[in-house]
Amino acid sequence: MGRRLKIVGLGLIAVLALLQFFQPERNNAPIDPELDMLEVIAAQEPMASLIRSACYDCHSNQTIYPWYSRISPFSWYLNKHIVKGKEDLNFSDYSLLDKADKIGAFADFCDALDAGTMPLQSYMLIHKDARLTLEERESLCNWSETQALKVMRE
Amino acid sequence: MKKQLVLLLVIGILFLSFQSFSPETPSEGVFPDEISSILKNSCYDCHSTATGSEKALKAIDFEQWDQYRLSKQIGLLGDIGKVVEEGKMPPGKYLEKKPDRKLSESQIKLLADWTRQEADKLMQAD
Repeated sequence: MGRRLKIVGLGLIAVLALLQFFQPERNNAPIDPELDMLEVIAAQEPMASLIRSACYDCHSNQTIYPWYSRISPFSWYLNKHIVKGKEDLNFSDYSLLDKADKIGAFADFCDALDAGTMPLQSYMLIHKDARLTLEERESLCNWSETQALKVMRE
Repeated sequence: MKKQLVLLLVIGILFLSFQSFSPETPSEGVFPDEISSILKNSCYDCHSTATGSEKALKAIDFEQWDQYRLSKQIGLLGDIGKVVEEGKMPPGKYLEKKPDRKLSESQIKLLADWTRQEADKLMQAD
């Protein structure tokens, strides 16, 4: 019995070790000031910092990775969120959106903060600086609606 | 003096009771007839309050259109145009069950053109 357990344990370790050779591509392209939302609209503080720390890990091309992101299968779990997040909204490609999409993005941004659907609970569990207070959510929401109006008038 | 008070009371009660008669649901006529009939046929099963699914309604509820604020409406118009042009909506699985809900080429064009015009119009409206 003890021997069998040892074999299973060793097998498991071997599989985990092997998994480390398979890693997703890292999401860290340089910031393009022509395309990046915070750059393009010259977002003021504290909004820019709040958005960078609460949203940019999954909604931009610049993820700041935690240490365990090098370890499979966590790396794949993170990658899944990044891919999905960028699919929904990638702030790094902001300028590529048409006018209606920009306005819609700002509206959805506010809705997600207001409804509490974003940032994700699992993300906030690890990232303390992503835990936005009610006041921060409100001010980001107002700021976002102002941006939507600005785009309308462009 | 007492008569006046009674009269005032009666008027008050009448006024209050009128409050329960509000105009019919204002969603009628929000969209042009042509657009409205396309939406009703191809989108309302999932995207209207009465028959919709939670997930679909979260994305858009056509019956609540006039409750959305301006920025939301413009964003949604952009989304509608894109998803119908890209053939993402109505979803293939739904069309398998209800092939008559499929949008024709001309309906897609009509929707896409209208969403663009309407979005432009709303942007001016501000």
